[in-house]
Amino acid sequence: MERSKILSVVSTMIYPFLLMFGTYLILNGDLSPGGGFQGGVLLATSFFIRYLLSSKDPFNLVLLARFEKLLYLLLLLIGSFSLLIHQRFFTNFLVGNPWIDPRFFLVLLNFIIGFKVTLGVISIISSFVEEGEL
Amino acid sequence: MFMKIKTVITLLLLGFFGATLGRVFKGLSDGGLGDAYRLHLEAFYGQAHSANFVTAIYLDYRLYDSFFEATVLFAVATGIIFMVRKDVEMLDPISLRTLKIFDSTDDQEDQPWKDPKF
Repeated sequence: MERSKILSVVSTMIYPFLLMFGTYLILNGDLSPGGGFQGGVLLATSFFIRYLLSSKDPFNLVLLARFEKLLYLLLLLIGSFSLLIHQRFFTNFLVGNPWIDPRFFLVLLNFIIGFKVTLGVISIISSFVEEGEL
Repeated sequence: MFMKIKTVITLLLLGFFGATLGRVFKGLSDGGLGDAYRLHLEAFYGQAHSANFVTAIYLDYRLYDSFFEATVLFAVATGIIFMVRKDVEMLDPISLRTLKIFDSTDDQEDQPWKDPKF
């Protein structure tokens, strides 16, 4: 595939900032606008830019799908952990304990959701790449 | 004639919309966000320990909503992978391989979902 030089140069410039901004959105998502979904899609976009630059598809679809499955189960597990403590599904199980800041729950869930969304969107893009050249 | 009536009505609606927006923004800049803002902030911080309204809603009160959003994305990714791997065999109507899907052959090339690694 023939690529324009402008696209390559601008993508090279944008790529580290996209990675940084996606990580910032995920990790700071409980204090500012943003969060797991948006940051995850940004990170996946940065990987797509990497594909545009190097034209290689380094991702193994089976491995991506397996990791996404594991993260999904982890999300369900952490969400239902509050059933043991507060007798309610899907709420913050750290509220009321004297040791850990309850904000940790929000950061952890944002992190898991962001990572899962990143893997999902990357696997969608990779399957399109595998289907035919973009 | 009809075009003129339409234009007048559209202009009236746009003017009404702009006036409402102007009132809202003027109120915002005049008195801050008001007492309701502070009330909700205190309530959300007390219950959910989140400094942000939206985070308190989508990660605490409505966590199951976020969870099923993740479910939707997961289903979409899985479905797209399945279709990319299988669409040549699935969508070709003449091919006899379409019928072979329902047979009980043990050929793993034809049936990747029987692969234990997947």
